[in-house]
Amino acid sequence: MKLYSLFFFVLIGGLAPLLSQTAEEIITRADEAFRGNSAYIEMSIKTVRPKWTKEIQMKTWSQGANRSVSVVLSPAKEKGTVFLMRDQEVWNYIPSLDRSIKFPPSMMLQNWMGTDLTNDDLVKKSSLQTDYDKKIVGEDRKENLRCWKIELIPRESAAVVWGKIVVWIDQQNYMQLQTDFYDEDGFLVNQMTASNFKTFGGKTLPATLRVVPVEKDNQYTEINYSVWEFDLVIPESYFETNTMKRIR
Amino acid sequence: MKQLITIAWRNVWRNKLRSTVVILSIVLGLWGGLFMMGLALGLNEQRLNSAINSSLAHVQIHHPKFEDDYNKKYTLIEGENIKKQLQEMPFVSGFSERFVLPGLAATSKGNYGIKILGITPEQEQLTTDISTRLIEGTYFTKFKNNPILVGQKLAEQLGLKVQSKVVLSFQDKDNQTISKSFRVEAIYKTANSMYDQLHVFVPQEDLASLIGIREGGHELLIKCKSLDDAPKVQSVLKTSNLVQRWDQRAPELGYAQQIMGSFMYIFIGIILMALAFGIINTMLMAILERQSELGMLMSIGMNKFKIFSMIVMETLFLVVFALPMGMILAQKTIGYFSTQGIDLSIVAKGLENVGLEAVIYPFLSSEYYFNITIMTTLVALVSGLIPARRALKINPAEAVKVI
Amino acid sequence: MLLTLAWRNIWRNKKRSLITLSSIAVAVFLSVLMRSMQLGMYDKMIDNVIGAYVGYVQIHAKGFWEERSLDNGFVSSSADQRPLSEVEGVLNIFPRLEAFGLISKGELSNVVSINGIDLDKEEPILNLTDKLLSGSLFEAKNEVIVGTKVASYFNVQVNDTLIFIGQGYQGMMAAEKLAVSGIVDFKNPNLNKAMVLTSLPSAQQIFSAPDLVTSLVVNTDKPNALAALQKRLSVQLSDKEYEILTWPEMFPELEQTILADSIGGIIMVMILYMILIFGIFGTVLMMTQERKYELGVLVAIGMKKGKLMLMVVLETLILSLLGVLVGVLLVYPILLWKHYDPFQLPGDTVQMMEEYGFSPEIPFYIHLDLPLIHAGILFCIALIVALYPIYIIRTLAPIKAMHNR
Repeated sequence: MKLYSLFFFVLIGGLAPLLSQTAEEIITRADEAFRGNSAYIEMSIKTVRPKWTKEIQMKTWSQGANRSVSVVLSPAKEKGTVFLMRDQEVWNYIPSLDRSIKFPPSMMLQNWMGTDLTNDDLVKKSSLQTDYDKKIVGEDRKENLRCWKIELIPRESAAVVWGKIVVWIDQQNYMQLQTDFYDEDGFLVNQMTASNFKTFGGKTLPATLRVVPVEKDNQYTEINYSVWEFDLVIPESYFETNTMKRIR
Repeated sequence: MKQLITIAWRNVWRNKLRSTVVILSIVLGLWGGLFMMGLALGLNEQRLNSAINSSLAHVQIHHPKFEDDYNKKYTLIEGENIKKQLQEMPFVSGFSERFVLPGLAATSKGNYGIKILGITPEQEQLTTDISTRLIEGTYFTKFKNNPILVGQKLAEQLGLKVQSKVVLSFQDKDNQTISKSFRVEAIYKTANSMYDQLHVFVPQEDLASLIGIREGGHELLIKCKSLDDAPKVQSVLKTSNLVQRWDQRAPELGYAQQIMGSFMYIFIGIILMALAFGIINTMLMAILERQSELGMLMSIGMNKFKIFSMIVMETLFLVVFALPMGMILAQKTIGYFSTQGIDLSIVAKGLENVGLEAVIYPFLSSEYYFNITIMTTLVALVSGLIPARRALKINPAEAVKVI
Repeated sequence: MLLTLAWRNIWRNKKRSLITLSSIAVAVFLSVLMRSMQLGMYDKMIDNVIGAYVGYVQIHAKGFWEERSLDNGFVSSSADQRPLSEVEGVLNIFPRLEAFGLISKGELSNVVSINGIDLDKEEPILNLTDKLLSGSLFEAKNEVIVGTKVASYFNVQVNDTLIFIGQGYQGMMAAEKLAVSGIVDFKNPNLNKAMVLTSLPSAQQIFSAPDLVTSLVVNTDKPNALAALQKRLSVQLSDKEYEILTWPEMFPELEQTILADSIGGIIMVMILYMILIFGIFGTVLMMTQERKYELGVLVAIGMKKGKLMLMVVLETLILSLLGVLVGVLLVYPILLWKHYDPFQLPGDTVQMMEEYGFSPEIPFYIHLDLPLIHAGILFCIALIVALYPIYIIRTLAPIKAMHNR
């Protein structure tokens, strides 16, 4: 009898880590799923406004969490425009001018290419891990998938404007299904939702992301992924400022 | 002569109504004029003091190149030396050193360009009154981690309250843009809403390591025992930095005093002209009324000079009687309101734009009372001359016959 | 009959009448003079701050002033603007495209405001040619003029190139090389730091916004009749699509500042009036006392007191009218003179004001409504003051009055 219970406890003990992941770990895994060590993405970004809509086609190469370079394929007027995000900087190459410039701090909070994302959003993607304390607050279903509901509260010294972020991560594939951004007074300001799940490079990932500024009517930005490859080798030169013009 | 004076005096009071009218007009005119001056000059004075106390101080020192592009590498040249010199000057009541960084303040509501002032809280109290202008919160006493003071105008725009978080972005020592979050420990309000919108205060130590400045600062504010000591500091201080007085930093404040003074004297001039005409006309008419009496005086032997002096004296008496009353009335009312203040809240927003509070305190220094007294007495003399001259033209024989 | 009597009475005693008349004339003269100076100053202040660039009235697409983004602009061609410029009170209509973006040269970049204007229309008012420090005004496509501080920050000379990047209309990217054709001192430190001007067609092309404007600035020669102008313009423009704003609506703080000043001015005029009223009263007082004998005689020989009062009122009326006329005739030429040849402010203040874009002169206000108003007020005051002689007549005891001689 005693032997059985002992064995049973050991078994439970061994399984425990698997069953109770911390919020920290979940977020990290979600991030890895989304990013990989490196990635190549082809996507279209649609900006929808009450009076107009615009669609951009882009290719992006990203390395780790801190570096990525994108080139615009269409519309024709903007074809060949390159964005290089490196650490905290954003560089922009414009083919019609044959010049690259670095965005000054005052531009970082402006909207990127007219979308609902700011230039800052593009470089701060990794901050979820470093700037916030995370806690699992429950379970939920989104898009018919079981997910963890995780609450992120910014750390005291973190330089972020949100009061709170709530994230839904699906328990099977660690996809970030929904992200709610709250300001310091507890009002929902931005909402990002994921849908349209497909298989990319052996992983299940959302092919559609939608960013909605909640307080404005009839306005959102939608990203649709058409190609997503992971863990490829990307030459260093892709992330250097003087080779930006050669990215195709 | 004494007889003349007595006669003149009695003449004045013979026609009580007339004299009262003239006296009243002088009293009220002077009172009105002086009060207006007190208001206008007090206003200016207030604006000046507000600016000096809250933001300008009496003297400011910067690296000669600092204000061209606010490049943080231009800290004060030999700052310690300056401070030593200042400590030796008896007319300096305090000084404080600051960092000045251009940056961005952001919350989820938006972002605004601002100037970040890195201060030493105790030192700052020696030169500016920000610590007394907090409408909410505490002055760097409660929060340990990255406290910040923001102006009310900025707080409104960014939706900030005490304890709110605000993210400041600025360039660090490698000219990389960094962001740091601060907690609002207090909201301040100076008389100038434009100043409030632009400036935020943080402790120097929270910035020092980030921007790589170990010692020294960008700006030194100096407060003197009085306004007039400012030029002294400028001439005595030996340094290769740029030393500027408050009126060089904000020339429009200095000029405003001058312009306002000129306008006020013009206004008083017009008032005195109006008074003069009133007195002249009234006295002229009185001469007409007294034609027969004057004619009789002349025919019994009063010579022209005496008639002339008598009329002039009558006018002088009226003015001399009225003058002190007007002055005292003005002084008392200005004095009263200079402590009570006049509430102009209806145009508060407009006033705040130019650096004035909604409550105004009139003020008039004694030199103005003195000058106006002289001007009024002169006017009195001149006003007396014209009717007096007219009186001389009376033909005694004709005058007695008038019906 | 009474009228003839009144008239003759006046001329019978020239000195007396002249004195009374002159006290009224002087009152009109001084009050109009002071007020004209004040009003001229306020108008000049408004003109300096608003007339110089912002404009008295602006027309936008509805909602633009709340959220000033390029997407809230509207299409407006010269054909669209013609009927507006023919509205009564409108001198010109200036179409403008105002947006902002990033200017870059080498390692430096900074956010600036870039405005497309119709130079032919606006130059007479903006007078940029006089403000040019070097180079010339823009002509060819993508030529711009920049403020002095912009030029010094980027260290640009005439013919240098600046890169401009921004967000164009409806999300399009705006990216152009701009040639600096001239450097301008806008006389306003804020404008000098952040303003870049170019032609309207250039701006429209840079932002991918053909025929788009963000505002139509309305220039008027009647800056004091803006509400009426606003109404007339609104007849031409649909209420749902457009908003027509006067400068007080756009900058209420500025209006309050001027209001505060204006109140001060009015108080000053009131103080002046107080003194003037005393002066007039004193004169009429003495005049009545002088005439007691004469009035006594008239009553004694049988003239009804009522008629006597009427006669005195008529005399006052005539004298007041004449006095007011003389006052206006004397003061108006001075107003005109100092309007076309304005007062200059003294000494050092000139330099300071010019630095801020204020011209240091004070042109006097010459619209007719000013003398008319004050003439009217003083006329009424004279009539009220006439109540004193009426009172005296009422209580006149003829024997006693005649005894005074």
